[in-house]
Order: sequence, then C-alpha cells, then structure tokens
Amino acid sequence: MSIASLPILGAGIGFRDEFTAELFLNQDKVDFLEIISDHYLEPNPYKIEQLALLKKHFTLIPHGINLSLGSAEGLDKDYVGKLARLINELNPPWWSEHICFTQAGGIDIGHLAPLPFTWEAIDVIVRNIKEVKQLIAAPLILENITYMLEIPGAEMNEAQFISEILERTDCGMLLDITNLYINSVNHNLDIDKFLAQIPLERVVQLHFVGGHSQHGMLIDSHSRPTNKEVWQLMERVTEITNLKGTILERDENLPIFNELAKELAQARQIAFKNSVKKMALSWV
Amino acid sequence: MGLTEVQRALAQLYTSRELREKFLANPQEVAIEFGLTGLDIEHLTALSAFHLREFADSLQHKRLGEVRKILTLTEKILKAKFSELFLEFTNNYVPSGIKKHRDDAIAFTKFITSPLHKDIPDWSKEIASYEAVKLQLGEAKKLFVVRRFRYSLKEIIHAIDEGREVVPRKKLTLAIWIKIPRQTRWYHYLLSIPKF
Repeated sequence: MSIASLPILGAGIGFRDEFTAELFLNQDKVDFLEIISDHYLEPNPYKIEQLALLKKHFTLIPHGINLSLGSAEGLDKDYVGKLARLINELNPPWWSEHICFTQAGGIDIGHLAPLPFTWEAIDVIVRNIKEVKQLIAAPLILENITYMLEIPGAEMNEAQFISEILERTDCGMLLDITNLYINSVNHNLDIDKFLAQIPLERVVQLHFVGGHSQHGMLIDSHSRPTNKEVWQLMERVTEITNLKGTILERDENLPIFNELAKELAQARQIAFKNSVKKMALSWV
Repeated sequence: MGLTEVQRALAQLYTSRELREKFLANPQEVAIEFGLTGLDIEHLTALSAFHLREFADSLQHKRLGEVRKILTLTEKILKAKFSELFLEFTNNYVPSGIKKHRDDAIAFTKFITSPLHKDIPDWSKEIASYEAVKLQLGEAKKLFVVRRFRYSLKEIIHAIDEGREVVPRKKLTLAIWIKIPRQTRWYHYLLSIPKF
C-alpha cells in the first residue's frame, strides 16, 4: 500500500441521518464524509437515493463495523460479497474496518469485541484480510478499538499486536485517538510507548470524539464534544504522522450542526497546520 | 481447541446473562461445557468478572440506544419503562444480520405488545405496532399498505410531538401508506372514522 500516494481529504465527519439537512446547509465546512458501510449493504430505495446524493456532493469513505476480521471461523461470504460490491462501486480513496471480532458461533455480538493479543489471532486476522483484499481494490486501513475487558493469555502488547497485523497485511492504520486515550486511562496503557511501537508511517486517518465515564471507566460512547486530552493527542499525532484525513465520529446527543462544524474547524487547523509546515519543509 | 472455541464461548458470555452468571458462579465447569481444554480454560476463567459484566451491559445499552432512536414514539410514551422492558427483552433475543437494529426494534414491539404485558395500556401497544409497520415499509414490495387501529393515533402522535399529556381516545383509525411506482417516498394518511 502506497500511503504517500493517497490524497489528503482534510477534516470530515461520520455521516448520520439525523443531520442530513444541516449537513447540506454547511457543505463548505465538511471536507469529506465517512459512511457506515453496513447501512448500504442491503439498501432500500431510500438508502440508494441517499447514497447517490452523498456521493454527488462529498468524497465518501466506507467504514465497516461488522466484517469481523478477527473471526477464527472465517468471514461471512455473503456479507463480504455485499461489502465488496458497495466499495468497488464507490471506488473510494480507502476504506476502513476494526481490529476485532463481532461474530462467533452464529452469534452477532452487536459490537466490537477485543481479540487476544496472540500469534494465533494475528494469523487469523491476516488470513481474513488477505481474503478481503482479493475482492476489494481500494486500500484497507485498520482501526484500533477500545476494550472494556482484557482477554487473558496475551503474548504481546496491543501496539505490537497491531503493528504485526499492519506489516503482514500491508494495511494502513485508522488511529482512533479517542480509543487510544480511553485505553490509556482504563488499562494504564502508556501512550508514548504505544506511539513508539506502531508504524506511524502507516497512519492514514484519525477518529476523534468525546465519551463519558461510568463506574470508574471511560466509555467510547461518541456522545460528547472532544475532550482536551484528545485534542492534545491530535496535536502530538499530527506532528509525527502524514495524515490524510480526520473524522469526527459523533453518534449520540447530537448537538446543532454548528457545534460539530466548530470541532471540524479545530481539527482541520491542527491537522493541516502541521501538514502545511511539513510540506514547506520538504521544499527546503 | 483454539481461538474458534474461545470466541464462541466469549460470544455466548457477552450476550447471554443466564450463561454469564452460571459461568461466573462456576467458571471451570462452564469452560469445560464450552468444550475448552488446557490453557484455553485457564485463560477464560481468568477473565475479570467485573469487566465481563460491564462489557455485556455496554452491549445491551448499545442495543437500547439504537432501538430508542428507531422507536421514537414508543420511547416517548413508555419513558423509563421502555429501557426496563428492553433490558428484559434482550435476555431472550439476540439480533443478527445487516439490519439487526431494525429487526431488534421490530422484535421488541412484538415483545411490548404481547398479552403478557397487561400493565402496558392498549393505546401504547398500538403506537408500538404502528412504528413496527413503518419500519417494515422500507422492505415492502407493495405499493399500498393499510392497518387498522382502535385509537385515534393522529391525536396521540400530535400530543407526543407537542410534549403534551396523551389523552387517548378510542376512535377506529386506518393507517394508510401509498407509494408511487419507482419513487422512494411513501405518502401516509391517518384516517379516523367518526362514530355514527
């Protein structure tokens, strides 16, 4: 995967039906959109029309939530077929999925479940990714998740686990800085060590948003404005990577769109201030 | 044994309260029932009970959040009862597939409208049924759908939208949805038939 050749998309937002009208009224404040692939895999006529409209006005990045790349049983062929059809049709600059599993034994867990940080899990996810890459032409970038529970039996830390997967599959990384911050608090994960261990040159895109606290744990609820620790982390990460895009991933307690647009402006200022500086330096 | 069996066991522990509590009460025995052996048993039984319950609860709440967004009228009329019933409902139903949230919402309306729930007023059950019909329209191959209700849904929906207290009135109502061929939009009418 040639990350350097990917286009810079800027600061975008995860599309949600609830703000469709406001989005079009504020089109100039949104550089690109991330769409949840699953919403368009079996589209009804309304969804087909919606996707065409979004595609006409924005660059779209499909974001998968239920491919279950870490499933040891293998991938759901029917699901993969539908996903491939959608992504190949959209022909996006890249698409994304999570490093996790969401299905096993016929049960749909309903959310992203952590994998054990083991060599066996790496072999499984690498095998599944290779299968998917045969069917989808666009580059795949992989996202780090939050995990409320650690699966015992780890043979390495999370950063080593992710790095090995990225290197062996030649995928880019969608670094969710909110997830990284949450894991650092909930599991005493050392952010500096994490950033030192992952292949930063593979980081293509960021996710950012605010969560909430419950029973002494931070929850990745996508329900609050981005907190200052995550903004600070964005500053740090953009200094050491060559980002192509950053996505505000707000799902719950949606405020008026202007509030979201302000966060996008702040992200753009952080991410692109550094890109411009780096580009200028490369000319010297 | 290996990751396949461990993931199958985890998926069950995450989604079945009954099995999870049985496991936490006797982890070794349940791990063996899962078909695990050796190190896999050791690892599974070392799971943190607190974090396992927290994760399972978060999955339930995530489902609740999605269904709440879909069944907006039902949620407004049932208020706190909506969450209470949903958490009870999730003990026996795990949706799957691409449209799982929609299917979850439809299955939940069936649970709400069950005769077992005598404490839920009939007019509230009718609102839940009405929302279920709307959810199924997206997949409907038909151009015309009509359902009969016993209460004036229009009055109930207006009261909900305006944040007023609902004063349900019995009035035979026909909910009609019509679609023009090759168009995506459904035209919707609620016709209450006056008593003679």
